[in-house]
Amino acid sequence: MDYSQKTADLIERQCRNVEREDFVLDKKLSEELILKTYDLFDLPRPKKVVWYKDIFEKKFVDAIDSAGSAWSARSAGSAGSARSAGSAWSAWSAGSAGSAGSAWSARSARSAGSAGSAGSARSAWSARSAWSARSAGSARSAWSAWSARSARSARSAGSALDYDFDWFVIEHEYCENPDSDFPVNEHDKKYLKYCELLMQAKEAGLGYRVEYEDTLYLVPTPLVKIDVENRFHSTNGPAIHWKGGAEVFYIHGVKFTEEQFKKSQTATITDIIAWEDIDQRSALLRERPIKELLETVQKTLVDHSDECGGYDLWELNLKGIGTCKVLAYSGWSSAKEYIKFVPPESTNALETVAKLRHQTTNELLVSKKS
Amino acid sequence: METLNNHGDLVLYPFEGVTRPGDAALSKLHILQDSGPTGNRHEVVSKNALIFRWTESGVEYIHCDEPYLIQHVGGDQEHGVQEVEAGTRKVLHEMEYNPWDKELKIVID
Repeated sequence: MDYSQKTADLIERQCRNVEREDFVLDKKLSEELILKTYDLFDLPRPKKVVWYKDIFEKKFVDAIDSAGSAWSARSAGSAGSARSAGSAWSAWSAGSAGSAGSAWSARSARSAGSAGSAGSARSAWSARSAWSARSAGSARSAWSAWSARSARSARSAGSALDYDFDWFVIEHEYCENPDSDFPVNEHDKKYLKYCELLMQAKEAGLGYRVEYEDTLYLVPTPLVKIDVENRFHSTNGPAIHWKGGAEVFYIHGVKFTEEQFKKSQTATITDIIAWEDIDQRSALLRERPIKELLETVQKTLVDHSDECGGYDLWELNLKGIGTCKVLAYSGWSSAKEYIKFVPPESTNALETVAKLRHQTTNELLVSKKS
Repeated sequence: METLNNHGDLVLYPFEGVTRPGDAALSKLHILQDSGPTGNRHEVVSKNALIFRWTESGVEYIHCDEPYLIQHVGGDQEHGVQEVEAGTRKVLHEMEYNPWDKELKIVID
């Protein structure tokens, strides 16, 4: 086995929190668990606790901004110090591999890469959960990454309870199987206890916390739906939503406004081909692939090219438009499908691609493409 | 011929027949296209050199004296990172046809 069963169990437990289904928020328990992180480091508990319904509530955003950093929660800072400075694991990784990331991969048996080909828990980690090799490498969960990308505040990522959970996995495994020269010490144990408290708080429904001026501001964890490639995804409703709070719509990782999402639910083939944003259009095509869409209409293949990933030039007869031409193709560096209307005089697939890109066919062929 | 970059729906087309104005915007990073709702964007970035950006007669240009990068941020970052050679580039956008208005329009990514 690449790593211990206990670590595999921990990963399984974390996976259960990635695609969060309905739950009853236990406010009292969540508060107590997060306050215990202060006790752990002998820090005075914040005097006041205030709940908000989602991370977009202005007062929560203001608290994050005012705090200067999401890490201003004192217990988080202490935990970070315990992990990065005092733990045996950090001493071992600094001494033997130079960095925490390479320490993890240096022990190849434990690498995220080998996790993918192993048993169910490890496969879940690398293939199904947000704790994939990629997210582990960048020290971000899918959710934290989303928060970081959001225009609201890069800092909100740091206030997510699961921000540190990939370190939790690494530290946990080290403690299960330490290097004999660097035995597990009190800092390792404290860090694990801290992460366990956060994990239990997450399981009780707490998602975010930030501390400012002796007040702890808390937000529940949202309900999250993802697709098999760990992208935020739901075609039935918001992919992310807080009960009574914000809703965020994604289809296969591509963000839609609520209005666009509603429109997508009743979209015809013509609506999809004419969809304004080509990334959103491509996301919709994953639900209704081009081949399937074209089966519903009268069509003639005008031209096909195998160059540059392959292009099909079709003539269609669409309700509301009549005879028209479309180009169907795959992305140059992804398996995504695309379709777009092209001028009715188009007869050569590759020439049409080049022309719509303001270049000659030869320029297209020799260009850098991705 | 200098290399042409097709980066998703954005095209950086080598072009030398233009004079850079004195008031060209100057930065190590320019966002050339921002999709809005999806949050995806294409940006050019240089670690060391400044990249000039200006518009002339409705056409956008960028210039850098050293090679730099064009990258896609957001989504699956499916367009990856490409190196752009030093020199001047027209910034062009992929087009598609609007069968109702019977005219070409810029692809929105």
